[in-house]
Amino acid sequence: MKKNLPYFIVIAALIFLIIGVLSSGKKTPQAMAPDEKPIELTQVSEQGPAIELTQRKQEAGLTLEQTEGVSSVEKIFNIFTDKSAPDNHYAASGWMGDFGDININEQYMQNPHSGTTSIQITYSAKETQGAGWGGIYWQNPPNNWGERRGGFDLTGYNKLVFWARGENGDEVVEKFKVGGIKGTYPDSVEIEMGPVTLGKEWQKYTINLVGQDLSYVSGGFSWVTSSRLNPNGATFYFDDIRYEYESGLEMELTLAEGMPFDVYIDRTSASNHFIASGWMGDYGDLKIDEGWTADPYSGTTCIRIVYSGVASQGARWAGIFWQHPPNNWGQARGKGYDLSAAKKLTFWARGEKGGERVEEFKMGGISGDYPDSDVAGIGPVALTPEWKQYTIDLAGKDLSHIIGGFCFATNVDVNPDGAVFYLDDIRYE
Amino acid sequence: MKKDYLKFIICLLIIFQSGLACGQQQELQDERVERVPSTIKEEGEFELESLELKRRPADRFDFGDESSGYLTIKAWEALGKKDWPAVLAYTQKCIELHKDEAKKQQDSLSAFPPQDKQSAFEVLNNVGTCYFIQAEALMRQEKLEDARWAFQFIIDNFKYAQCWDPRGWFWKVAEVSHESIDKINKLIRGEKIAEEEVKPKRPASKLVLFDPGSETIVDYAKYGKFENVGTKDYHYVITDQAALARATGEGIYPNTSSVRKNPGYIALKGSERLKGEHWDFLYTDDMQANFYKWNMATEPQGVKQFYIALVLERAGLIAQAIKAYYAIVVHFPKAYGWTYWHTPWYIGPVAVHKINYLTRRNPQLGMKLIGAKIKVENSFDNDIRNDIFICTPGKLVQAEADELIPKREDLSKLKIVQRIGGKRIQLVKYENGHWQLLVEGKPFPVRAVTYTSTKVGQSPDEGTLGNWMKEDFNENGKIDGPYDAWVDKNKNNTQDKDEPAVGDFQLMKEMGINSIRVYHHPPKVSKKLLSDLYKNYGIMTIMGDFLGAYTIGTKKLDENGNPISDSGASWYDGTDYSNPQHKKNMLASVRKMVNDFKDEPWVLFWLLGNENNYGVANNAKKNPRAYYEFVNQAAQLVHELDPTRPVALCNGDVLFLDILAKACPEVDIFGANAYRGKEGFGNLWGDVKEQIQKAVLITEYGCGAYYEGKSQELAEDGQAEYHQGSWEDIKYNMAGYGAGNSLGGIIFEWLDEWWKAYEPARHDWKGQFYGPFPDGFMHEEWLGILGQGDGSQSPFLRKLRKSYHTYQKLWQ
Repeated sequence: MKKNLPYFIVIAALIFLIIGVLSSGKKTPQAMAPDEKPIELTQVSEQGPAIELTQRKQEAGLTLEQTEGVSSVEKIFNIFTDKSAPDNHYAASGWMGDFGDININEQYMQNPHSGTTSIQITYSAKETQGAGWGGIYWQNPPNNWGERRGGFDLTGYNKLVFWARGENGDEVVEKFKVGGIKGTYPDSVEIEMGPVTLGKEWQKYTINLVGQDLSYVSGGFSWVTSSRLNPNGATFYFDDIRYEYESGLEMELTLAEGMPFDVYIDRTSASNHFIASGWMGDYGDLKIDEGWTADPYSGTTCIRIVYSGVASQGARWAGIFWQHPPNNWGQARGKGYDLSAAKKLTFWARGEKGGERVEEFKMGGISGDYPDSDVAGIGPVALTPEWKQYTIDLAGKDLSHIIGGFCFATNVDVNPDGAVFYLDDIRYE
Repeated sequence: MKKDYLKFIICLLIIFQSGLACGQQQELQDERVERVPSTIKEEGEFELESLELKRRPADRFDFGDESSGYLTIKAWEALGKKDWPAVLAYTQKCIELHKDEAKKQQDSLSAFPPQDKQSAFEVLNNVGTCYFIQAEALMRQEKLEDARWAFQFIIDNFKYAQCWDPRGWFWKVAEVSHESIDKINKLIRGEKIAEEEVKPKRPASKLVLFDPGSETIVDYAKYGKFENVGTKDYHYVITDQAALARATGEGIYPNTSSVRKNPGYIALKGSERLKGEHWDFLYTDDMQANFYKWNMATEPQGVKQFYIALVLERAGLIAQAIKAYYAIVVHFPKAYGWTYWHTPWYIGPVAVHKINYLTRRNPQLGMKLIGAKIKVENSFDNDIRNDIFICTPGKLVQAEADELIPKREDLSKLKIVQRIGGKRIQLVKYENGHWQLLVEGKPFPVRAVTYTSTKVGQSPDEGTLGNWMKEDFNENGKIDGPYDAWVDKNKNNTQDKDEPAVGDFQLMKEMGINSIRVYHHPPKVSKKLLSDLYKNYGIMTIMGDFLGAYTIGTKKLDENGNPISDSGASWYDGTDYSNPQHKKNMLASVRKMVNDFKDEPWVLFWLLGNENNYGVANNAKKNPRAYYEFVNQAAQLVHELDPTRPVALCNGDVLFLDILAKACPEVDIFGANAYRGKEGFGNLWGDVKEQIQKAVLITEYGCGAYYEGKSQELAEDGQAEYHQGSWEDIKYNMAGYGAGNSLGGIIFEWLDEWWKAYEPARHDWKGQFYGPFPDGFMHEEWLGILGQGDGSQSPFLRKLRKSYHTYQKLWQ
């Protein structure tokens, strides 16, 4: 598999570059390297005792900050600083998914970011409960899934910050989340970011909450990851998780992504940006294995789709959207990618026998309140038994907001006996 | 005391019928359902005064093979005759024997099964229908509370049951139960059941394009390459997508961006007006919302482009609509969809005909399509995998108005190379391959109608259909429809002094009709009447035999022990075209028809079948080869008995045309029942010409005068437009024009028949199946080019619809 240089390396390099520039006394925004994402050089506060210059790099909606100087933070509301700290406000009580795969040590003594302890999470990826994913909610009161009152009114705060590091520096957390507890007393906010590949050193992450309704939050913080992204498990650390108010902080804008931009490269690739979550039509007719190892086009895995063609739901057709975030049918505000730099979407495909017919391959086209900004596709396509590359022309398309990164659809009329086919290296270029 | 007893019996009956205990908890139901019938059986007979129910000994009922299908048919018949004991006996037998299986089938479903899997749910459908018949019986007896409860039971327990209508569609039993409950609630509250209010589904809006594109006629050669034109490998390769998108403008492939920048769309995005499925917007007048929804729809590109074009057309943006239809021809000529019956719908050829129609009807645009042809090989089956599309996209060009009207070739200069029939009635073929029907040496374009004057309230489903050729309800010695019908000029549903009886025959003559279609099966055909129709009104008769369709006919045997005019099969077994006895019976029926009528001068030609290839109550769809071989045998017999007239076949559209082509050399005229839209019949003429080189007759075409959400006037406009477009297509393919194989058409039908959808005494407005009609649905009870007003003066009152006058002009 033709893997990209992991983002964190790019980020680190850019940060290094920025720091270098800053230390030389220049404060102008940096020009971008052709294949790299833009860098936002922000003068965060003009009111603080000192100017904080922050280089921000968005990774899947999460801001990774490298801070220099004194913070302009005016208010703090702690979730966790140290074990038994009197001002910790939430408890790590909401275990989800494969809870048997998770161990937590809230008084891990080695190498805390600050104070004497940090939180150590060990995720085994054994899929003990068969879910394929696991995670923890920090809740108040403990174990509250919305059936009791107890959320905090965090109005007045405008970001969540935390520090994190990975044991090896390649651990992938699928998403971090603020709010989202449902039930009788639901949270007033639900915002999530990810996936994020952690670095080996402590790094600060920020979830921008400007404009969010924080009047009732019982799920203060959560993380989720999956065996798909960490097939051999993962160990990672959190510290200093807290809400803050920073004056002058503005609502985050999406930045145009650099190219190439991957939908799917390999099962465990952290550069995969969309999730095959949007199942349509006869969803019961479909099976997908994103870690198929036999004869991938490149790398170690490809995607295997099995379409039975039995019309389980009576629709006579079926398809899958690769979405961001998962299950986003246009209802998620502020999500998706700006792929304006893309000229085409390419992918490789082959049929098990040859002749399998896919009626449409496309990107975009999801509607809803926050829809895709455009749509483009090809089809019908009769697949060959050998790998073949296909291209969707994106010239002239408005790709400023893409939530449906890729999609296929087929039907029983052209595949009455079903179809097995493979996809690999789905990528915007 | 008696009252209490009656209440108890009513309760028992309801339990008996519905399987639910009156007002009891669910857990009590099964016990009571099982117990109550046996209680009744022990009594042997029970009487329910208000329902006039009297149980007869079981041997007085014909349970046949006790299949759910058989029992349901018998129950329908009993309902029509208001034979309440029989209704109870047949429905209850069906329920007792098949309820458990029906429940299993119901529980296995989470949605209505697709049509091609309906046969697997036959028991559910029949048991659900039997419960429905029971509820209907209660309602007809004005036992409203009980009926409401029984309808609700269906909704609660058999919501996926559907009832097969012999005309070719299913209706959802629970859905109609809901409507009945609504009606009952109104009756209980003492409200009048008024005609449905004309309410638009969505308020009208005007569509204004934000980006109409830089070119009215897009010069595709500038933006890409046409590869392999005229072959199966045709493809248009875009070389400059962005520029092409600028040229085409909003909503036309590949421009998917402009609509998203349309201020109208931005203003509506996220609003209530855009909530709902895009299909539900299609025939509404909210053109803005309709256009935006279809631009955002996740349908295959060809399908989506077609409906965007349709929205543009309906919004009056004809030039943009033509551009959109042409985008299909260029980019998606191989696109397909599916009809209600799950037969393929080829979008590319339809787009070509849409363009031809729109350019012809809008000469002010000054454009025409030249050289475009999309031929679909192997298209006469339901398998789209074997289809081969030979595509020539042609070119949209500027044109003068007089170039848009087809020119007629001078036939007098052409030699006749083939003659079929006798001297008086002759089908001739010219040297250019064109066909013409001659009667007494003169061209006879078939301007026919399916005629029947069914009285409101009658229904063949319920065994109450009378014989219009004999009915004389006003007992004045004249047959009602033909001679006593009067035109309600002022539409007040009353016969005023200036509205004398004129009769349908005279009205047909004044319209320009020259023939009607009749089948010879019982009820008995009146020779006297049809002879008078010919002698005094100049109208001939196309005489038909159903050839086993719907197992219509009579089981009564003739002197040789054969059914008089029937295949001999029961409805639920269906006619089997490989069954020697069935074939023998049907040939006997055909022989009888020809022998009975061949000496009548008013018979124009013979017609075999009525879309038997759709397989309703026969196996023609399963075994088309056997069917068409039998058709040929029947046609051969007709020729032997009457060499003086041609023989036509009535097919369901062009399904199995390729098989027919090989199996039916004896058939002279290919007839097709076709409902393809106001543009006419598309590739039908060319397909037939290519496959069988025979003459073509459209044996049924038409459109309901009902348009959901619109006034009757607008509905009639829609119907008239449909008929005009259809007839123009028929005309422009007659000898001297176009394909040259058209002989004419048979309008379906003369007069509205109120029994076709649901309640025979009510003019049901609901659509039976979706299709290319003004509001997107077929309204079978509104197909008449004449209406029956409010039904109170049936079978006499005639309301002349706009399409009647349209034909008067077209046929002058």
